[in-house]
Amino acid sequence: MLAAASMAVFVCAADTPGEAFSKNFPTAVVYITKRILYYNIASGYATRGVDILSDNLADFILMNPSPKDPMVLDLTRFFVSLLQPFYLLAISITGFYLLLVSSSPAGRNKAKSTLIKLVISLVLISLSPQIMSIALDITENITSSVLGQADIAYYSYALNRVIDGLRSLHKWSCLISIEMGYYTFLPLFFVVWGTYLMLLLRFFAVVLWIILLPLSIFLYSFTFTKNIGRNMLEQTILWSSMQILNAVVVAVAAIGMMFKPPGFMNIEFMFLEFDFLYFVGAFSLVLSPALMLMWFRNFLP
Amino acid sequence: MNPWRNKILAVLVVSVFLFNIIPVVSSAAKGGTSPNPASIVGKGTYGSRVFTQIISLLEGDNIQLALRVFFMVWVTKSMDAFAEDIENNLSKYILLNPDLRNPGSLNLLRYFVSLLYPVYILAIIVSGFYIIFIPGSPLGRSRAKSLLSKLVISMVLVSFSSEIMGMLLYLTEQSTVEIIGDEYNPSAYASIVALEFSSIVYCVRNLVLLVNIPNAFLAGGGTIMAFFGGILNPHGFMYEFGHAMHAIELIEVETVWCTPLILLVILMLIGVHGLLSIRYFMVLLWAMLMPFTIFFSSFEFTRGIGRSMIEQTLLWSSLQVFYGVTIVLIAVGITIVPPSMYNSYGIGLHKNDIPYVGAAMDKLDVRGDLFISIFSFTSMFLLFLGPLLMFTFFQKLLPP
Repeated sequence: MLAAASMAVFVCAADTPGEAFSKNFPTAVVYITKRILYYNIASGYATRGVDILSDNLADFILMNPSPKDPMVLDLTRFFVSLLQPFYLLAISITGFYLLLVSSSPAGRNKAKSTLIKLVISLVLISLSPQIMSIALDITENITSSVLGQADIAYYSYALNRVIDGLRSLHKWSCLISIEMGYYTFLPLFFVVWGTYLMLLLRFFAVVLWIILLPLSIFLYSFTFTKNIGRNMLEQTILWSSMQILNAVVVAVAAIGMMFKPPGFMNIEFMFLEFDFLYFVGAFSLVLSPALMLMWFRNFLP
Repeated sequence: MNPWRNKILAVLVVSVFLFNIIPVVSSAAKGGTSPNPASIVGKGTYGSRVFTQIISLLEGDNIQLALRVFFMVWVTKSMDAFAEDIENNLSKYILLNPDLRNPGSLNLLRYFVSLLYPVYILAIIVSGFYIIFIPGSPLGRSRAKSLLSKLVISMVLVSFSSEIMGMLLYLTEQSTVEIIGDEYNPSAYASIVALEFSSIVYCVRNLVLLVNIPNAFLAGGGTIMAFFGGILNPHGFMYEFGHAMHAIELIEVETVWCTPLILLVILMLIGVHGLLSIRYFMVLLWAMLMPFTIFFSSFEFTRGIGRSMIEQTLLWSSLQVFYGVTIVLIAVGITIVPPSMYNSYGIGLHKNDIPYVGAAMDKLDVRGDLFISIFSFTSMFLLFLGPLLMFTFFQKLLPP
């Protein structure tokens, strides 16, 4: 193209055909080049990291923050130190009531059970990093064994196939009109970045609930704040267990895609092939957090 | 991005720069004493004119024409494929349930069941130990006995979880067959709805083509006139008129303006193909989770989770029947609407209202109209609303 452009400069003094060439060829090339440039930049941006995702999907699903990481531990201990005075005060008041205040047997029984709950709760919040560490080890092991049953390679193949199909659609849309390319950019973007977002969102949510576990246990221990505490504990359990659901979703999506009847939800036209089942399968990791939070609610007493 | 792509992009960017400079340089060089290659080529000969006109086909207007024609062909082929798929396969997509007997499903199910067996065995042993060796209150012993029987029944049910799910899916499938017929002999309701949805797709196709054809004709005509005019007489009337035809902006319609129409079809695809694919996956997921559903439902402590899981299993399986009912609803609704109302409110035009267009479409045997009734449009949205309504109304269908 550079050589052709240079030749065009020296032939341009003519009326035709060199003049025609210098008038029209650059315009056409600029026209097409702009679209190819946009397609390359947009699709490159939308699918950035898809190779890393499909090669390391299992690692992304298994990824857990460490409750014993120094930064996380510092924040957890901060909350524990914030709550310990409340516990000491509550235990002192209850002990004072039991020892020095003469009241009905029912009142004394209630105070005794409150004292026991307070002590247990205090022990639990002090051990919250260890509790969370055990919980995450359990979920990680279960996830790892479920992923062992899943055909992750097929899921990655399906994901790449969907990305290639959407890229092809995006390419031809950009050639027709760059504005149309904006619309076809979106599904490509949401499949890749949505999957990344949901997997990483889970990671950050687990960090948050690790840090807030002492507070959750504290709030759950008292009748007055039991509802808030229950919601917080449920969220902790849900976000930690989401790993298992992600693994199950990947396993089921791979089975569904692999064993689907031929021609089911498959439309071919010109040089494009669109398989809706594969698209929904590739999108399943984006939807799984929402599904989990929707299905499992109010399960703690 | 990989290094090769960066290099190609760099070359493209430099080329764009260079090609933008060429017209400026050429107009400056024109007045200079540079050699005139026209004398070598043979300025004014038919050969050079043909060559010139062939190169002139690369001008921006002609590139736009080519892309517009490509867009029209693409829309035609894709819409025809979608419409045929909906017409031929709507019943099949609604009726199809995942096969739970394939090796992958059986493998995963067996794995989940094997996870639960040790828990059951431990619970049975502990309950048995309590009943036999621990002297407890009569209430405690009767609770332990009922727990033991629940554990045994639950364990047996978990072992047959794939058969239970298979029976449930058979039930929903047969119920749906009663409503909409099977995939080889769909009922009249299913046929009406399939034709209605495919007619929406054909209408969108026809509307997109209608808005693009005038421009394509003008531009195409202009290109042909300019091409042959340039060969015969580069500064003649035919050549100039051909270029003027490209410049007519009166009915200039950008291809991207057709996007709202194409979005209608995409919405339908999401409603039919998208939601049915999601249902297929959800049914498979809940079939795989059936052992855990039975397990969690067996114990008092986890009954809440178990109940939610049973509800989801039943809802996603029954969605098939609900789709069947929605299909009947749409078919009956469209059939009983008075034709005057059906044809009065909608998007687009009636083909017979445009001179010659109706006759041309009939002559060419073009399927579909140019008018999408608001009733068809609404029925398409029922495909989305149906599942939403079902999940909203039947959220807590099981007793606590």
